[in-house]
Amino acid sequence: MPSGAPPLAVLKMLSDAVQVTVNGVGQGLLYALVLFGILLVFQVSKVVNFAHGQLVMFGGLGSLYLILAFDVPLWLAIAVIIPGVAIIAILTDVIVIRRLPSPPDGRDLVLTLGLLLAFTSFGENVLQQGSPRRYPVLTDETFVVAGAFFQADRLIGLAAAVVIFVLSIMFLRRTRFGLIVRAAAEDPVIAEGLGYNVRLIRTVTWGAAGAIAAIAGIFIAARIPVQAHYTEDALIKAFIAGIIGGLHRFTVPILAAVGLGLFENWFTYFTGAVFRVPGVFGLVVLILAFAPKRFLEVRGEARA
Amino acid sequence: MTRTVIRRVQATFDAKAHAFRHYAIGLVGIVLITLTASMLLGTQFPFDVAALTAINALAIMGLSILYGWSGQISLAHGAFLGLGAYTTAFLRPWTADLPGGPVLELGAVILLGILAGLLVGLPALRVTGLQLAILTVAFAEVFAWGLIFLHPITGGTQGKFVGALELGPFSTADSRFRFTVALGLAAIGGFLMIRLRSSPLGRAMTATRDSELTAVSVGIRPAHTKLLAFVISAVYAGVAGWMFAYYIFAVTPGYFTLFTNIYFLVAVILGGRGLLLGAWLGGAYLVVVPEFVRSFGSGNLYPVVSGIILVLVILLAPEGFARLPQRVLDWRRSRFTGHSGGVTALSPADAPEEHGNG
Repeated sequence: MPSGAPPLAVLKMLSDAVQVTVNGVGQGLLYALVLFGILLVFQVSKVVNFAHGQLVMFGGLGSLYLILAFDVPLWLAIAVIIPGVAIIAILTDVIVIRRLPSPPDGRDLVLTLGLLLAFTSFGENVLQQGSPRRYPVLTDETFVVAGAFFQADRLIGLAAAVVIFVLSIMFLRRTRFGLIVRAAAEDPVIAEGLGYNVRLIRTVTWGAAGAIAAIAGIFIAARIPVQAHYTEDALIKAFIAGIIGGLHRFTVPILAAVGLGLFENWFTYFTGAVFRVPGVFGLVVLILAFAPKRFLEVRGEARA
Repeated sequence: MTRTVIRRVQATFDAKAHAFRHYAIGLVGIVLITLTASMLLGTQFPFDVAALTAINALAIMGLSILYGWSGQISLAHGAFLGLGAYTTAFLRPWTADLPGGPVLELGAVILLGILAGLLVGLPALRVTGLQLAILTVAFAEVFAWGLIFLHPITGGTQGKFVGALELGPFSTADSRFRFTVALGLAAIGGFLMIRLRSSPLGRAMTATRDSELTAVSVGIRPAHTKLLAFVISAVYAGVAGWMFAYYIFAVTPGYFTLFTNIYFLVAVILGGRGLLLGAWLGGAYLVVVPEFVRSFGSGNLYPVVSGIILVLVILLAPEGFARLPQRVLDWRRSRFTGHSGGVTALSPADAPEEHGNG
C-alpha cells in the first residue's frame, strides 16, 4: 500500500456511511411520498385519512395483480393503476368522506379506519394472488460509487420522489391555481364566496393524493415482497413524521420523514436489524415525551 | 343550599341503584339467552361465543373509560390485553399447583397493568389527539416486537401454552365454566364501572375531557385524573387478558397486533363510547359479526363487512349502537314537534350519561 493512502478501515467506513445515508434518504423519501398525499388531503379537506396506506397498497398490489392476472406489461399496469387509484381516492371522498360534518370532530379517524379495514380485506381477498411476491424491477442496473453499491431501480424511486415534491411545492407556491388551492384550504367558505369551485378543487386534490399514493406504492413494492399489508410500516412511519412535523404544513413533516428514514438506517447499522422497531418507536416516545411543547403544537386539527 | 346538595346526592344514589338493577337484569338476560341458544342448537358453542363476548366487553369497558370518559384515544389496548395474557402464561407453570394460584396470577396481572398504565400514561399527559394515538401505537409496536424478541420468555412466534384453569371439580376446558368465569369478571367490571361513573373520579374524568380549565377551576387535577384513567383502562384490559389466556389455552403474538388495537377502538365507538351497554355491544360485535360472516363460508371477508359497518355507523349513528334508540326517538320526536333532535337531546332528562351507564 502506498504511504499516505487512507487505511482500508477508513475507506470501508466511508463507503458504509455513503451507503447507509443514501439508503436512509431513499427510505425517508418514500415515507415522505406516502405522507405527501396525507398532507394534501388534510390541508384541503381537514380530514386525517388513515386509509391512505391502502391507496398506496392498491398502487403496488393492484399493478402486480394486473400483471399476473391479465399478463399486461409493467409499463401498462403502472399507466392504468395510477389514474385508477386516483379515481378510487376521489370516489372515497365523494361517496363517504363528504358526508361527515365539518369539522369532523374525530369521526374522520374512525371512518377512515373502517375504510382501512375494508380496503385491506379487498387487497387480501381479491388482489393478493397467494403468498407475497416480488415486484418486477424497472431496471436491474447496479453501480458502485465511493465503494457503495447502488441499485438503479431504487435511485429512480428516490429521484421521482424529489421531482414530485419539487414540482408539487412549486405548483402550490408559484402558480395561480396553487394559490387558489391554498386559499380554499385556508377558508373554503370565503373561497366559495369569491366564485371558486371548492368542490372541484377538493376533488382534484384527492385525485392527486391518490395518484401520488399509487406511485409511492410502486416504489415501495420494488423494495419488499408485495402483499395486502406491505405498506403498513411505511404508513405508520409517514404518520409519525406527519404528526411530529405538523399536518398543517409541508416542508417540516417531509424533512421529518427523511430524518426518520435516516435515523432508522443508521440505528440499524449500529445495532442490527433486530433493534430497528424499538429504536424507531423509542425515538417517537422520546420526542413526544420530552420535546418542547411549542414543537408539538397542532394546528387545524379538530379532535373529539 | 344543603337541601340542593342532599337532593343531588339522593339523585346520584337513585341513578346508581337504577343502573345496578338494569345491569343485573341484563346479565340475567345474557345467561338466559346463552342457555336457550345452547339448548336449541344442542351444542356448547353459544357458551364460547358468550364467554368471548364477556372477555371483550371487560376489555372494552377499560377503553371506554379511557376514551369515552377522559377523552384519551389509545391504540395500545390490545397490548395491555396481551400483557395480561402473557403474564398468565408465564406464571402458569409456578402457580398451577399452588393453592390460590389464580388469585396470585390476577394480582400480578393487576400490578403489571398498573405499571404499564403508568408507563404509557405518563408521556401521554403531554399530548392529545393524533399525537396520543401515535404515542400509544409506538408502545404497542414495541410490545409486539418484545413478544418475538424475548422468545425465551414469550415463546416467540410459537407463543406460550397456558392450559386450562382448574378450580376444584371445575375446569375451563368446559365451555360452561369458561363462560361462568368470564361473565363473573365482566359483571364485576361492569358494577365497578357504574360505581366509578358516579364517583368523584368518574366525574373528574368527564370534566377534564370537556374542559381542562373548568376542571382545574373546581380543584380537579387533570394530569392525575388522566393518568388514573390510563391505569384503570390497563387493569381492565390486563384482567381480560388473564381470562383470554384461559379461554384460548395458548397465547401467540398473532392475537395482539396493530389490528387488535384498531378493532378495540372500533368496538368502543360502534358500541357507544363511555357506556357500559356500549362495551357489551362492542364486545358482541367483535365476536358475533366474524362468526356470522364465517357462517356464510368466508371468514376472510370479516374486515370488509366490519369496515362497511363501521362506515355506516359513523355516518348514520355516530354515537354508537347503544345510543341508537335515543337517536331514533329524537328523530321521531323532531318529526312530530318540528324541533331538531339535537335540541331535544340538550334536555338534561334525555342526556344519556346522567342516567348512569346501564
